[in-house]
Amino acid sequence: MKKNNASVINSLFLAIFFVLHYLYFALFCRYHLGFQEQTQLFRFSSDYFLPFLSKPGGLSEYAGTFLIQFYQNSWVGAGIVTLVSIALFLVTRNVFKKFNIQGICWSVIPIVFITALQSHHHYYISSTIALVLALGFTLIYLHVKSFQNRLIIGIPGWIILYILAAAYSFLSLVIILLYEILERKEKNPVISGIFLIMGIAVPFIASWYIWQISTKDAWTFLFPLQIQTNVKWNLPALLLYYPVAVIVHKLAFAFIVNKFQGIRFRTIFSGMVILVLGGWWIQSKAYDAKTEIMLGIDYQVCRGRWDDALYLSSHYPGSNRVVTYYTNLALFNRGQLLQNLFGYNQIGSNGLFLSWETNNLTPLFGMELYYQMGYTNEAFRWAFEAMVANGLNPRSLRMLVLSSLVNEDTVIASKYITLLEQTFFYRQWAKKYRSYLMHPEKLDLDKEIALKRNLRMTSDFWADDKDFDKLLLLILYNHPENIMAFEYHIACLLLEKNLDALAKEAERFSQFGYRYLPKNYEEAILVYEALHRKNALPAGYYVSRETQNRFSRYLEKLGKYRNDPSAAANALYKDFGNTFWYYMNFYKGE
Amino acid sequence: MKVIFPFRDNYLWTFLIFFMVFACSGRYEKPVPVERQPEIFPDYTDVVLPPNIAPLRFQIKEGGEKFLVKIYTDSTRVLTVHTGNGIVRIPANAWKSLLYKSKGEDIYFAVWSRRGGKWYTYKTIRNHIASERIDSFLVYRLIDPGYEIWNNMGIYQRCLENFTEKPVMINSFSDGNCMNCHSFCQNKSNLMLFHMRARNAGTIVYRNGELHKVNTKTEKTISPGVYPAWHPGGRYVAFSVNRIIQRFHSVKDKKIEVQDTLSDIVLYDAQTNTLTTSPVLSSADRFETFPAWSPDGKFLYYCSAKALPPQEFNKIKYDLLRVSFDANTRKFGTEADTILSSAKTGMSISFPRVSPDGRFILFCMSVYGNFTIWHRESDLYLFDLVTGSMARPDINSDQAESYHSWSSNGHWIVFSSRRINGLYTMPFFAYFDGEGHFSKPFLLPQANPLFYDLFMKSFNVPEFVTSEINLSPRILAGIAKKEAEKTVYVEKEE
Repeated sequence: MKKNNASVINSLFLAIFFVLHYLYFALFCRYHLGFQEQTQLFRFSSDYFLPFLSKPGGLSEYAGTFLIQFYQNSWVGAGIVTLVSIALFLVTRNVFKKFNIQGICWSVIPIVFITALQSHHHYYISSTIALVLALGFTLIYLHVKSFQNRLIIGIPGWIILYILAAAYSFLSLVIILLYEILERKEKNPVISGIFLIMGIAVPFIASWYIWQISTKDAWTFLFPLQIQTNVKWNLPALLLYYPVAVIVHKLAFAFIVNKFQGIRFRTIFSGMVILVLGGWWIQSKAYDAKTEIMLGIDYQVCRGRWDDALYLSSHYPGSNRVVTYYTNLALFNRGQLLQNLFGYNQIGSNGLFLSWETNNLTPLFGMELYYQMGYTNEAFRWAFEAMVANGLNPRSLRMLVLSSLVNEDTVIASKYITLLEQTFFYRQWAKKYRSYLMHPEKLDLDKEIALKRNLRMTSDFWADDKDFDKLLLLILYNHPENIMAFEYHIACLLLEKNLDALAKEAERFSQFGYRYLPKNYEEAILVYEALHRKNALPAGYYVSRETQNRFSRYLEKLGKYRNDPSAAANALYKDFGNTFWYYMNFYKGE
Repeated sequence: MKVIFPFRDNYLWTFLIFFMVFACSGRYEKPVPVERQPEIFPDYTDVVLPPNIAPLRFQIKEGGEKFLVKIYTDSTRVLTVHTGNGIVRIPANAWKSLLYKSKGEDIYFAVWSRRGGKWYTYKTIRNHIASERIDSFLVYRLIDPGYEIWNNMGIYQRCLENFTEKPVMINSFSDGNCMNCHSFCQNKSNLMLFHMRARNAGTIVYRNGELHKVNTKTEKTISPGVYPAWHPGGRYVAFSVNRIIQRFHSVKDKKIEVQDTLSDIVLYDAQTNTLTTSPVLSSADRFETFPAWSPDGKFLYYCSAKALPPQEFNKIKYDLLRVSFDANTRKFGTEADTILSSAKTGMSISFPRVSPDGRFILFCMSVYGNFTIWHRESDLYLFDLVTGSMARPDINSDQAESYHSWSSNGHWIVFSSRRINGLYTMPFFAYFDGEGHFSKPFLLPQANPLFYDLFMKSFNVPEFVTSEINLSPRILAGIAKKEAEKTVYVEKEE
């Protein structure tokens, strides 16, 4: 009866734990799972597969990238992560049982560490797969009893494990050695010696004679060393946990006989402790809410869900250039760039674009603006650099296809289409554009391609983000009808508080068919007219009564705090925080 | 090229072979002749091959459920390849044997395809096997044809007699840095250098069986050595030193512009690790670059242009000059001769390389500038030093042709071309008859003919080497991370 109760409690605890685990990834980490899917490309072809054989752990990596493609759907992605974690739990539990470590909570703790690591967008599931394989082999080995069979299975088995799991195979080695020393009834130092020698010799031989890999890679491949934040400490914690748990358990058993035979956590209490502490650990030490929101905005922008992007942007705590850049892109696409520019956090004109940086994120995020604006060469450049930095990925490839087609580079477009045709989720998209290559008349009928072709630059100039507004003017010089360049130009002047230049642009609104002036522009013109005491607007345009009244109220309230800017800012924010006037008075730059 | 067989009509010969194959099998059916050659990729039609080249595997780009390819020469047995998907994987050993026995002969590819229950036969492809061998190895850097970012890159050596490719150095062994400008003295694998940039920067020199890492940047020179050229004696290296800017175009058909803002040529002494120059090669009002030695080492050829500011980038045009050199005294002549003037050609000259017999100079010409791989109009030209005539050989395309080098026997060239897709650079070979004529170029063969469809790197700076380089990333990793020996500048001689 007691045993049944314990079993029920265990099952209940595990069920709750893994449901929470699943929901955590499905709801709180879905964007970074989606981001991982976007920055790698699994292809069904031999030329894609073969390079994975050129290093240890390649097959785990291959399996990981195969699974990551399904992160397209966040619920499926979370399911994959949870299933692999369940596999890790099961294999850990069975390994611990061989050391007479019975309580399930011992086996849940590694999942907490893995969950913390998996909360980082640079941690890939291939590492967890390799860990599962390593522990799986360990379990098989621990079940082998005879000396001869341990040699027959252990030696080639561990070598194969190294090929499959790379650095995680050393964890297996350590656990095996501990078992040989602490648990084997018939201890044999020969086997321990052989394993020790293998652990040193195999990576050495692999890096010197089998693969062209550096010594560092031979010892550490598949460890998530690319994680630079404090999350990285979960890896040594995870790796040390296994031997430490075994040793601690053994020592405790050695000193306290019988009473704590096979130390068991008191499941309900210890389970609760793990849930609470584990949750706290992940929430405070691993989960990065700001990055998740930023990646969420990126996710929505990629899908053209501008309202969702703006919603997330409004919930982003603090200031972030990428967030502001995407917010402004979403505002433009909702026709709100000059209506509600100051309704969102702004950081000056730098918030309209991303400055070029040679890292793996900036080119990936920044290409979207240039493509939308019709600056196709630059979109191609950023997409290409993003591909070089991240490896082949669907986002870069699609942008390369589109920008190549816009530039009539059909041969190179075909090359990139071929790559996408080898994927599961992008082949239909690729098929559409392949048909364009087979039937060029379809290309002429594609509205998006046609629009972008009409916006191609005809007069050459250099890419230069040191003066973004100058770039916009060059684009407008090429295509005075480019409304996106125009609105970004006006937004740039607003964010730089350049009233004189704003006034000069008043004439242009009629060229773009504006019936009424955008709100933020009205606000700026009112300031200009007040300062220069003259009308800046051409015939047919006027500042709306509503804006004029609002301006009066703003000035009246501002006047009350003449000597206290700080108090003024606080008092005015609620009613006027989304106006140009507030920005002009209180934004002092980053 | 002499046709040995009296049959000029390929169909008759084709029919005979086909009859021999199928008559015996009792599956004879008269094929339907197609009035043209089959479309194949790579284009291995009407080319001249070296007798030691790897199999020219190709893909038949015609419809069909089955394909049959017969390869034969006038004096050998027919080599037959069957394929269901059009991928013709010529077996290596049989190919090698066929070529070995057929130097100087024509080689034929007869292609049949079966579709809709019928066999079709195409006009036979005819190539020619030269008597002159090609150097056994090709060394190149594999890079993304990109702008500023790099990721994985390396220098590789490919055996041209088979499909084996091995890394000489890859940047995973040197903290992910950049490496470039591998250069060999007279195609020798044991006398070479290459640069490393960013992390672990320096120039790795392999000479007399020893590896050295040097820092060729001195207080008197603009930059570390850039474009290298080994003096034939194996002691000196002429380097350009450049300050370069790179900018990006906005119009279609143009992507990148790389130009010098400062440029000189210096002479590096590998024996003493010293650097010097000459007033002729380092004038303040000109850009001097792209050094290349004559085979006897008595002349240094180079390109020179009037120094103009960056905004006048499209007016910078390089001439081809040469200056005498005395290796014993390490002195250059006091005046340079203009071999070819941009004023005369109307174009800008770059990458001069002198043929091993000293008679010809192969170079690139573009409308302006010098970084020709990004100039679509860049083509290869040949200058005859004996007759003084210049020609544009029929090996060019409507895409960029750029970096090139001569084989050790002067009968083969390899050059970089973007003719396949306009972006990814691939190496092409062409036979040279020694009298100023090139054969049709052909692409470096690969084990899988579909290789180039999906390969995402460019073959950069292809160089012939006569034997395998006995270096590997593991060996070079040790020297790569060491501190570089500082090169000392010796005052230029007036």
